[in-house]
Parts: sequence; C-alpha cells; structure tokens
Amino acid sequence: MRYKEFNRNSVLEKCINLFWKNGYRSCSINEIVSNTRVNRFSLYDEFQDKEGILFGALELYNERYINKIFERLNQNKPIRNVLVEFYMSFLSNNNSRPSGCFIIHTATELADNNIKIKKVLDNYLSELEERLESLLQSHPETKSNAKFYAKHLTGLFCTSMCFSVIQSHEERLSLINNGINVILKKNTNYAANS
Amino acid sequence: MPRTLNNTYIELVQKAQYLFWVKGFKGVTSEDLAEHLKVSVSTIYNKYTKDLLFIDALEDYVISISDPILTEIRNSNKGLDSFRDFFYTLIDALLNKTFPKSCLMVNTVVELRHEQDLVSDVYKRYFGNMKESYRVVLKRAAGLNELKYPERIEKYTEFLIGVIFGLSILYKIKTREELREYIDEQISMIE
Repeated sequence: MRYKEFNRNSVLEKCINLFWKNGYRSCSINEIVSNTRVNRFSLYDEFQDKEGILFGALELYNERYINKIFERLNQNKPIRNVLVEFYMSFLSNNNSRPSGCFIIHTATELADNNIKIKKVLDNYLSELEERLESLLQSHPETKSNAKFYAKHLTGLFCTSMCFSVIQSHEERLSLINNGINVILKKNTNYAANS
Repeated sequence: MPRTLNNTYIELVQKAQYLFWVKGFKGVTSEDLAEHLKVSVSTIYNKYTKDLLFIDALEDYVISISDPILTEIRNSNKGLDSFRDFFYTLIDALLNKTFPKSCLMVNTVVELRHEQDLVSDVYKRYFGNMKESYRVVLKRAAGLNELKYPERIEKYTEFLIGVIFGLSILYKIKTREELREYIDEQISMIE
C-alpha cells in the first residue's frame, strides 16, 4: 500500500506540472506515459481515464499546496502583510512550479464545459472567501465589513492569478497592493493611513 | 510586420478565431484548422501557419470587439456609469456566449504566459488602449465630481484594468445578478 501511495502521488505531481505547463487538452496520454514512465494500462487501472488523472492531480495540489498556503492566513501579523504574503505565495518565481494557481488555471481552460471542474472552482473560491472572511473578522479595522471585503479580495485573487502570470515581480506587487488599498479603503479608518 | 489582408483571408481568420477561442492555442492543431477552414493541411503549414492565424485572430479580436467598446465609453458623456455599461456588456457577452468561451485575451494571457513574445505586440495595443480609455473616463468622472479622491486616478485605472480578469473567472460560477452587484460594488469603491 505504502509503495503504491508514493507512486501514485509522484505520478500525479508530474501530471500537475504537465497539465499546468501545456494545458489539459493539448496533453496526450502518450505524453503522460513518457513523462511518468508508467504505462497506459497501469494509468487507466489506477485513474480510469485522463479526466481521472486530472481530478487526482487537482486533489493532490489542494492537499499538498493550497492547504499550506491557506494556513498562512492565520498568521498573527498586520492584515495587509498577511494578505500580500498570501497572494504573493502563489506568484513567487523561486520554486519549481509555474506561477499562479493550478486550480484557477485549469478552470480557465475547462470550467465552461465541464460541470465537475466548475464545482471544483466553486468550492475552492467559496472556501477562500470563508477563510478571508474569518481573517477579516479577527482584525478590528476590517471587522465591521468583513463579508464585503472577503468577496472583493476573492475577486482580486482571481484577477491576480490570471493577470499576474504575465507580470514582473514589481507589477504583481503593485497590482496586489493597489487592489488591497482600493478594496479596504471603504468605510474604514484604514483609509486614513493609506 | 504588416501583412496585406484580403476579405477571404479575414473570413478565414474569423473562423480560426472561433476555434482558438473555444480550444485555446495549444488545443488546436494544424489538422484541426485545415478541417475547420476547409483547406488542405499543407495550405495551413505552407501558406497561413497556425502561429500567424492565431496572431491575426487575436488582432481581429482587438480591432473588431475590444477597441469599438472602448471607443464607445471614451466618447460617452457619462462618468462612472460608463464603466457600469462597459462591464455589464461584458457580463452579458460572457453569459450569453456571444463570447464563445470567456474573454479571448484573458484566455491567451493565461495559456501563453511562457510564449509571450508571440503575442506581445497585440498585448501592448490591447492594454494600452484599455488603460488610456479608462483614464479618459475617470478624468471625465472627476470633472463630474464623482470621485472623492481625484488624485487617485492612476491607481483606479490600474485597479479597473484588473477587473476584466477577475470577471473572466467569476462568471463561470456566479449569476448575472451577482456579477452586476460585484461590478456595482467595485465602482462604489472609487466613488
């Protein structure tokens, strides 16, 4: 069991990168076979079909990366720092992953025609919005309007995960900081300081 | 590198545009194009090429779809309501599938993030015109006393440029009413 588990995840890791880099549709089973070095028969045995591989990859991405990044929202720091760090952790160039978010990336390609992907996107953004709301609730300067802010900070997340993939580091920071400023300024004392 | 375009070619480009819009650049093969455009595969390889058809399809999107809407809000006499009109129109196009799948430019930005050289001239024109048009509208809004902080026009321009990207994701899971409310609220942030 243990051996297979390890194997499954390492296959899925490679598929995350493959789908993310080349897009799901343009990635053939042959490419998956040659990249993972697992034969077609075993792949189908484990995942049923190509879509099964995609959902496995999305699940693993969520477990391994998103949960960790979401945890960062619980840091005890000024709210603006927590938010900027949160957005930027998807956009740093110093790791082996493409920048942006694999779930948003996949949804851009597939959510219009695939109801299951649409659901993944919906659940993902709802969870983000909830987590943002509880973060905003816990800070006195954003408490009174937490729901409103959470909704628009989730919108900013969508914006930056798409737009920022073609931006420089400085442009990304500027988009995020400026977005946070415009959103949080309304009806708070926070505006006085920005 | 200007190329002379005849009518037949523009028709081909617009047909190809539909295919790229739905399947993305990488999801379309030269064989798909040949079949969809009813020409031979060797014509695609030797005469048009997938790359050039794509660039021209993207350029056609800017010329026929995005530039005219931007010109409209630029020449309108409304202030912030021009943004409301603009984004409501976009929401309708996304939901009614006038746009076959999301916004072609946003799809391209996401898909071709590592192949930017191919499309950088089109980006420059697209974002350049968008920025300039938004700025014109914001200045007019400031003239109409609609902005509490007119000195923040540049910041608001940057903020609004991002909205089209956020909408291109959100429309996939939100209703028309929710999206309109989202836009109303975004505009209220700069009032």
